[in-house]
Amino acid sequence: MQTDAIEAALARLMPPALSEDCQFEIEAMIDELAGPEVEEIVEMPVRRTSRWVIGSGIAAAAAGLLAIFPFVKTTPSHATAAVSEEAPGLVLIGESDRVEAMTDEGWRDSDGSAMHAVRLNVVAENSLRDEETGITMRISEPREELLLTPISAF
Amino acid sequence: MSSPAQQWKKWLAENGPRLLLFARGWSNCRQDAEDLVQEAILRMWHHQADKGGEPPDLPLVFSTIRFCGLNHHRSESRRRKREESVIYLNDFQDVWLDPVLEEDEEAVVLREAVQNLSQKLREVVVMKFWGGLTFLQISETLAISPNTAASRYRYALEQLAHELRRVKEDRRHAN
Repeated sequence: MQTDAIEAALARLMPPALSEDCQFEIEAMIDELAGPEVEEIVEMPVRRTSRWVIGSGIAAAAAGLLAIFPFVKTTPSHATAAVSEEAPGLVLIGESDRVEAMTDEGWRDSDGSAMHAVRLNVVAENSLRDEETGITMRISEPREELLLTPISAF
Repeated sequence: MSSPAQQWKKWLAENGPRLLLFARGWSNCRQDAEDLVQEAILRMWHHQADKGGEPPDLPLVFSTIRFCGLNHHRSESRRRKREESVIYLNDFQDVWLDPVLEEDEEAVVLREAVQNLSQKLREVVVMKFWGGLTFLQISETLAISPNTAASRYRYALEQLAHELRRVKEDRRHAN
């Protein structure tokens, strides 16, 4: 029998389809892997807030100076996008700002003035509710801040 | 433009049967073969995530099914399942290929002959004939030369032809 004849005979055979259960399971897996479909990506306005950071345990020499306006340098964050009131369908239901760690970095010279430097690891958390679905989500934004306090008395 | 999930489902609908057929060569029953297909698709999803999330090329999926099949054969649980799957092997419904036409005796004989081919020959036939791969793609999948892939294909067809002739002669003598 020629090769062509055998190939013609093979063409009379076809692979069976996946079972319904298997097809369903794989499609469900694909849906799970793909996650929820996003129809439209809304660019959320960036909100920058000045923050008052209250640090406890700072040296006594600097403590009295905290009443004066502190100079806070905030390092750029990768995720500074936050939800404002204009975000459609999302309601801000909670907001918190907590200091996770604090390191005393000693004295620094800044423009000829002596400063006491404290490095802070801060996590800002916003709780949002999607009015349409009722889903509540929490957005955490870790950032690092350097708190510089001028020293006028030793 | 369709979502990635829709693209993958369409791709699955088109290629599921040929993947299942290939997976049969690496499993002992249909259920195990379907598990292999699912595992390969999961691996492919993660693999393709770095490449834009498009459904993968068939040769790559065949390779992955082969890899998954090899892993399963090595594991202890696979050995246990193999023993349990004897019952499925004896189930006449558990076939690898379906005849396009009912009561096509020659096709049924050929189906058994395909199943009885050695694994090396069978996977080349499956990838070439039902998978639609070129000999170059098959050679990349199996890490062999394209000439070897072509030789295996020709040799497999000769064996199938020989088996068909033998069965026909046996039947003629019986009549």
